[in-house]
Amino acid sequence: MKRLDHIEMFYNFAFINDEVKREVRRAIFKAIAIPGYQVPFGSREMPFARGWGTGGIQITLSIITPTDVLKVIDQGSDESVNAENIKRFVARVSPGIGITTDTTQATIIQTRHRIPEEPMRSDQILVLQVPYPEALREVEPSEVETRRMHAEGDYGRMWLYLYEDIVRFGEVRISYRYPVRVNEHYIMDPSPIPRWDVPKLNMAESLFLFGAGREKRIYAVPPFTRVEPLTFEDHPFRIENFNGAKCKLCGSFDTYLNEIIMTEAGERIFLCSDTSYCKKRRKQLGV
Amino acid sequence: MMLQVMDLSKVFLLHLLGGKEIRGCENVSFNVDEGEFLLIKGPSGSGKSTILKCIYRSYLPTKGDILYHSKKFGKVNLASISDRMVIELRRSEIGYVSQFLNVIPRVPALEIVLEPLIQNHSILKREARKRAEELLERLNIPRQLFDAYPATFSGGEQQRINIARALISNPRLLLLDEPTSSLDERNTATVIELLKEIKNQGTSIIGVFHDHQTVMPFADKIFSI
Amino acid sequence: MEPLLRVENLTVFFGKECNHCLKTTGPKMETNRCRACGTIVACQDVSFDLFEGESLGIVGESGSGKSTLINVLHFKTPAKGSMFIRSEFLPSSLKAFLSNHRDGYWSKNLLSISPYHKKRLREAIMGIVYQQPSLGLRMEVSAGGNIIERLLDAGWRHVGLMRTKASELLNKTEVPPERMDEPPRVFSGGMQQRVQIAKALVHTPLLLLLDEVTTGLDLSVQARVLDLIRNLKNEFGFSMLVVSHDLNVVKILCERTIVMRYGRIVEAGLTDQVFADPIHPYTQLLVASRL
Repeated sequence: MKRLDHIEMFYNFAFINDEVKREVRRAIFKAIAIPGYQVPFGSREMPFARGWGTGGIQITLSIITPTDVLKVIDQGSDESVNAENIKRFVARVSPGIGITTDTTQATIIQTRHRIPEEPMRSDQILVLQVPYPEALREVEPSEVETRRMHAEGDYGRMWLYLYEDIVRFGEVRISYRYPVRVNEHYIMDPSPIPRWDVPKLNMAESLFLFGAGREKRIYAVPPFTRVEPLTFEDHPFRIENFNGAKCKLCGSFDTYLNEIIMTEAGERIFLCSDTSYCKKRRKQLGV
Repeated sequence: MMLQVMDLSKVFLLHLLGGKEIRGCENVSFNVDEGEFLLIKGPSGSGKSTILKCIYRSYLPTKGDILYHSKKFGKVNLASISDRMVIELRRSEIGYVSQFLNVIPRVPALEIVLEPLIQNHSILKREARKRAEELLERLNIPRQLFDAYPATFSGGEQQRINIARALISNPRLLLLDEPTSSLDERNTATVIELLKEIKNQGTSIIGVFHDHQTVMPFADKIFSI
Repeated sequence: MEPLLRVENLTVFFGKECNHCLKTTGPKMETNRCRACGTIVACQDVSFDLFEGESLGIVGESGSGKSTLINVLHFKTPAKGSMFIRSEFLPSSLKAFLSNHRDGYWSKNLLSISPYHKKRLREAIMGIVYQQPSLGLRMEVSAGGNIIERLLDAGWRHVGLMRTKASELLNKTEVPPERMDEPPRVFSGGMQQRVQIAKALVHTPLLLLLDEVTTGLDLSVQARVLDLIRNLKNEFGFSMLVVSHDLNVVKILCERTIVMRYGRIVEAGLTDQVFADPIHPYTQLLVASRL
């Protein structure tokens, strides 16, 4: 308890001070106003290494209030080191907030690489950690050039990239960071979520905020916004197919599954990627 | 009157030879009426083809006027109208046959002949092909050469391709610069026969021939230098 | 016999210009580098009209400004002066932005429209073929992909239809369509040029810009490419601007020719007249040095 007092004495609520929060919130507002547009912001040093969710944490700390309930997941898991660290840090610097692992209970969910299985509501905000905010970086190394491409809607090369995949492999190979078109305007990187989660962005009830700390960008998908994966008319977008595999623990076959190799002989099992959903299901089923 | 050449002179100024001047032709004046054949006579080097090239605008006249009554633009001075107008007139009204065939390599003879027809007139390619074939046949070009490249032809065959190319679009004014120089008697006679025909249809002809004796009987006027 | 394009007083400086630039450069001074400030005057007061369906040749040695000129027309190099297109040839989607409301005949000055409109206009009415295929093609992308990129830019989203269109174009330019999925990097020089031509023809351009297209090719390959261009021109009826240092290329393809030296037009005329009766000392030298 003594340490907490110390923090309360020397730090503002939620660690970063109000001027900085104001700047980040302004960036968030602009991002919401222009869906899919990457708003530059003055990314601060956080007590984390860059690349460990500094963009996401700055958004979370800027929007959290004492009445909020926070959930943090890392690739679907509530218990990973990264998720646990972020959760503990935010709880310590923001006295009064609630912490949960239940998706339905949370008001703010900070996540890395997944969107929860349970549908999100309009009173919830999903904060995604983004390593590479620029969807066009794959085809164009120059930032000046990608900004021009966004400004002019010059997306031929991105499409060409997908076309070449189809020619070479018969389908688009991108499994994570599948480029999407937001509100029929900007092409956006949805962060490294699997294809499975991409349709969840479309016309969702909740707000999605994307923070890239190292690259100093914030962007957003507001509620009820059209988000379409880039596809050709004769090559529709497809989510992952687990060929009828089930979660070893809860038996679910309509969730995103992780494949785990158990023995050296190569025996493999499948588990739900979303651990809290899996737990909840097991409880309901009494497994 | 179809064409009126007035006081035409051409001087070549050769900068590479320190500004040396070479006289092409001097103070040439003559008239040609519709359907008339003017034969230009003179020793070699006297500037016969210079006159033809000035009329066709391959040379820029130094002095003088070349008044031509065109169908398209009315009365124009070929010495001073824009390049673009000259191109139009070359396409639709003025034909020129030189001694040598000067076309792209790798284009079959028949294509070369029908090209002007397709470029200028809205005519079906099939129709144009038929006319080109008829013309080449009359000029005694063997059928198996129709699809061959003229670069490999003999001088006489090339010359006949050249004539066919000029005649196919029925020019109003035809300029002939020794078109029969490499032809034998039989083919020369055929060419002259063809020329007579288009002359009767109203085409004016100005010609330079290496042996004027053969064409003399059918010339209306003779201009001697 | 109406012009398609009008270019007036095009002037391009490379460098910081000074008051002496124009006086100390040009054919008379035998340089295009300003003696006072070192600026290159790549083009000065270049004016010409290009007519519908016409092919205009631009000849001159390297450094004469001919390639700069083609880059200006392709909106790649900024320039002073003006360039207009006949209003009726503006694509309908751009008419509202690019029409000149005082003069119905000509468009606005195309050199001063926004980069976005330049790009869209370029896509809609122009095609370009460069000497180096690497400038016009993405060497790592398949030949078909190179062509399809322009369809994608125009909003096509059906792989099957796009591939049909691309193979049609490749067929027209004598590239075996079964090789459309190979990158142009593995093609011969002549075939790379033919892929470039196919790419330039995607939207049936009004204006085709050819920048030294046959330079560096074998003679027989040259003849084949020139022949192809000539046939395509007869078929599509586009206008062409043919830049070349090779007088024979211009002689084969063009009705009119402009001769440039040190950024200036020194002579312009009918191609056969320029070759048979060159007036300017430089043109005489050029014609006399022809192989």
